[in-house]
Amino acid sequence: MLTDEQIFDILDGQASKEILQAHQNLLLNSLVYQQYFKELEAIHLDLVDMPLEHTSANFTENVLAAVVQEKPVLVPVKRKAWAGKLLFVFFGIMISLFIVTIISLLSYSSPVEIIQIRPNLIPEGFKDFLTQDFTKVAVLANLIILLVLFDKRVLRPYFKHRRMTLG
Amino acid sequence: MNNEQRDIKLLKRIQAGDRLAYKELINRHKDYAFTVAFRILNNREDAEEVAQDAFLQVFKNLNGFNFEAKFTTWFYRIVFNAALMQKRKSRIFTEDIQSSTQASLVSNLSDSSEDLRKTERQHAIKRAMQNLQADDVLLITLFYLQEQSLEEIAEITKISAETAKVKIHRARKRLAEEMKKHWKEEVKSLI
Repeated sequence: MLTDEQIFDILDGQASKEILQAHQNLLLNSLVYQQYFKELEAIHLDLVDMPLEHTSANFTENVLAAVVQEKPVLVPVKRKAWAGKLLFVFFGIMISLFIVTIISLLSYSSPVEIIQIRPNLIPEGFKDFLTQDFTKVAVLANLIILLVLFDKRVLRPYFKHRRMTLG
Repeated sequence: MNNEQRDIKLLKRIQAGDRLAYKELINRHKDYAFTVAFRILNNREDAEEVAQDAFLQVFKNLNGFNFEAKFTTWFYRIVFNAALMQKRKSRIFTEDIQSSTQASLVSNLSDSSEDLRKTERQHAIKRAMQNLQADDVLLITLFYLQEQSLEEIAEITKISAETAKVKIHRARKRLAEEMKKHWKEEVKSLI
């Protein structure tokens, strides 16, 4: 009689020649073996015939929808060492500005006196430039800087995040 | 390009944010994932939930995947773990199969007696599988799906190839015994 392992090796097509020979002999001479082999063979054939199961029609769409609903994994940002001091820096600057403003106000004198003491040394053409063209250029430059900052800080991270979440 | 390389290529595209690649990956593996989950749980709704959950886990944990490894080895492990958790949560196996057996027998009234016998045998096998341990069901299912080598099946179940082979033999033997019991009960009920 062959062992169960040997019989399954025969069914899986992995048995050696010697085992196959013994199997053939047993099939011819032993009714008990014949019956036992048929039992195991039937199970084997049933398992081979077991069909691949199929999901429902909207399976893929359900998974994709669930992925969109998934909340993005938030990575905690490590607070920088100097970040805690920012509040003090801000108040320091504000206090300094306040003191400078107070000192300026105390030392203020009327513009008429200044005109009398100091003649206007700025050339007329340069004065026009300062008052008109320079203002326009400065406003434009500020606008560009603001747009670049907005793109870098807001737009790019937003679209990058959208791409990552397959939205 | 073989299946393994195609999977890796798809995973890299998913990592780059390609939604279509994710869809393709799901379509490639959904039936296999569902079959594995269904054989363990024997409930279509639960199995579908498990398969969906497995795909979501793939998406969420893609950064943890070793791209040198085979995707399906990693994936079937996820499916198996999710199915095990589901099985622990709900221990309802028999109702679904009984109702589906009846439904299928009714729907197959036009089939030949040979087809009916085959269908009935397959339902009996599914029922018998419920008396096996989940890892035995996984071993048999993966072995007969013929998508994985014995070494890969062993890697999924975290045992050696030799042990996997022995366990598959024993599980089939147990299945044969369960089937024998089942037919005896059927005969008794007829008498």
